[in-house]
Amino acid sequence: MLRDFQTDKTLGEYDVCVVGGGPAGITLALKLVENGLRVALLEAGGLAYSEASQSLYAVEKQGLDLYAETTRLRYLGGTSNHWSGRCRPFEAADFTTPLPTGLPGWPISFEEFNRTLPAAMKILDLPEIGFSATHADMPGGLFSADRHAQSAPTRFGEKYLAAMKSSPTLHVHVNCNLVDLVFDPGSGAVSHLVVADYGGQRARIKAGRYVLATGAIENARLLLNSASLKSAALPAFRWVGRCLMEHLNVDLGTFMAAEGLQANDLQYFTSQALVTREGVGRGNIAFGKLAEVVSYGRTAAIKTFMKNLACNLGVADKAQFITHFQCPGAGTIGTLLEQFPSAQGSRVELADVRDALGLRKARVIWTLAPEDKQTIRRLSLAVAKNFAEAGLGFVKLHPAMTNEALDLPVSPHAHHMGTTRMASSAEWGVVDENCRMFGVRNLYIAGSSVFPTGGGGNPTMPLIQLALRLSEHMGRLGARM
Amino acid sequence: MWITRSDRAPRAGISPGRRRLLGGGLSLLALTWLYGPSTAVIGDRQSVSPMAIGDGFVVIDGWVLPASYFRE
Repeated sequence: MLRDFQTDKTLGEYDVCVVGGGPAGITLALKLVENGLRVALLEAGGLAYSEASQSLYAVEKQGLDLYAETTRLRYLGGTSNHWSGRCRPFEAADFTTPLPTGLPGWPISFEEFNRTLPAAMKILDLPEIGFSATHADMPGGLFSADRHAQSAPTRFGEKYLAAMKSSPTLHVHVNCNLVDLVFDPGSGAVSHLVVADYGGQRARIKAGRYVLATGAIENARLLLNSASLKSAALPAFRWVGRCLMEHLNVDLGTFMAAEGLQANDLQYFTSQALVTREGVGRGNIAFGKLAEVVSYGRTAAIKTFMKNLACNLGVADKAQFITHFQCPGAGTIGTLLEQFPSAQGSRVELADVRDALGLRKARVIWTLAPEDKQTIRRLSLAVAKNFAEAGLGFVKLHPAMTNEALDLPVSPHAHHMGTTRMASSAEWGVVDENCRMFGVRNLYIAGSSVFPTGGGGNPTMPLIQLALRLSEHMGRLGARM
Repeated sequence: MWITRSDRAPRAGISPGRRRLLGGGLSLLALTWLYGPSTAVIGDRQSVSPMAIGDGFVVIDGWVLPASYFRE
């Protein structure tokens, strides 16, 4: 059943209230209904993109920009509405390799995590063939060919809209913004949620259990905005917002392919031997040919024209003292590298300014820890040497790879993770191995915000795996509190 | 001055698919005459200096190249 909270304030009482209609929230809500539970799914946006909703994702920034306003989408289906569809599963080593930042990793086993992989693959419409590479491993044993799969990609709002509408025990409330999560210290549980429409009209909604599934930045912001949770001074609360992780998209440099080598799309992945030897994160390093010049900003069109002119005249190298750019046909090397969680590093805090609904905005602080810089620089040298040794060609590294005085050319992948990390106790994280917040009997968190480590793969499929696992757990609990 | 055989390695500063001379035409001609026609000359400017990075590799003007390709 679908209701528009802007015009219909009818709210029932539910076994479970899921906040957030993205991949995790929709997957979880539909599975809970299959388990016989009465479920509310609250989506802050509508059925399509709107400025009124999207503008509530505005944040304050410190450090590097991870484009929090535009990489997330705030309407039914969430960020799956512009997801690229790339899927790569976690590896066993992601669950056993100690983190150089000293924090504990996953409190559950790889086998337990991977139990729901087949079901997640089905939800994401992945081919039965699974994860495969398109070329051979790099000789030398340090970089294997990256094995991944491509989803259609699945747009959750579109694909599952009919199923959500037709379910009598699932109530989807769109244009329904969570503005307060009210914790009762006496019972140790969330008593109710306060929601608002775009006119600021508020209402309460009650359920036996609550799940936040609004993405890593918003999950943290909503928890931090809860005055009752904050005043309860739960040990786990001090971790909320900390350990924000992204995947590092680094402009490593350029390359010259060996004669006869087709190097339009070579994708390699770090081996465990390399990760152990170098003490670095894992991830993907991709070699490709630039199709067109790249420009950013308001004057991008003018920049593109000038760059193309310089490339066509063969004088692009003469312009490098003004701006650094590559011409079409140049070999480019990009990455998707693991960023380590850092307790004092990247994080989500509350800004002083408030949004249109009265909540304090998020301040997103994204920085590179020394361990991340080490990952980038060591992997760049390792892949350049191995590329040459393997006879694939030669790599010209960005100057920052060999000069620590220079800023590393890093951009994000729109993979926000880690702000409500999973741990074995409240000493090290926000949620337990069943995704329940420590110290709160009936509050759960879904999505990549619970990842204690991000690995080197894309997060959408793993967060679906966790949502399925959470649905099993809540299904076993049933309607009782 | 660092030199290498021109058929073995890219000269430092040559963009993929492009040929860019590091020095002036006359000086390159002179160096080619001095070292032989199959010799590529690199490091003919102060900014180009090789840096050893281990495993028998050096970085010259950003290019990661086997040290064995070069001699001073």
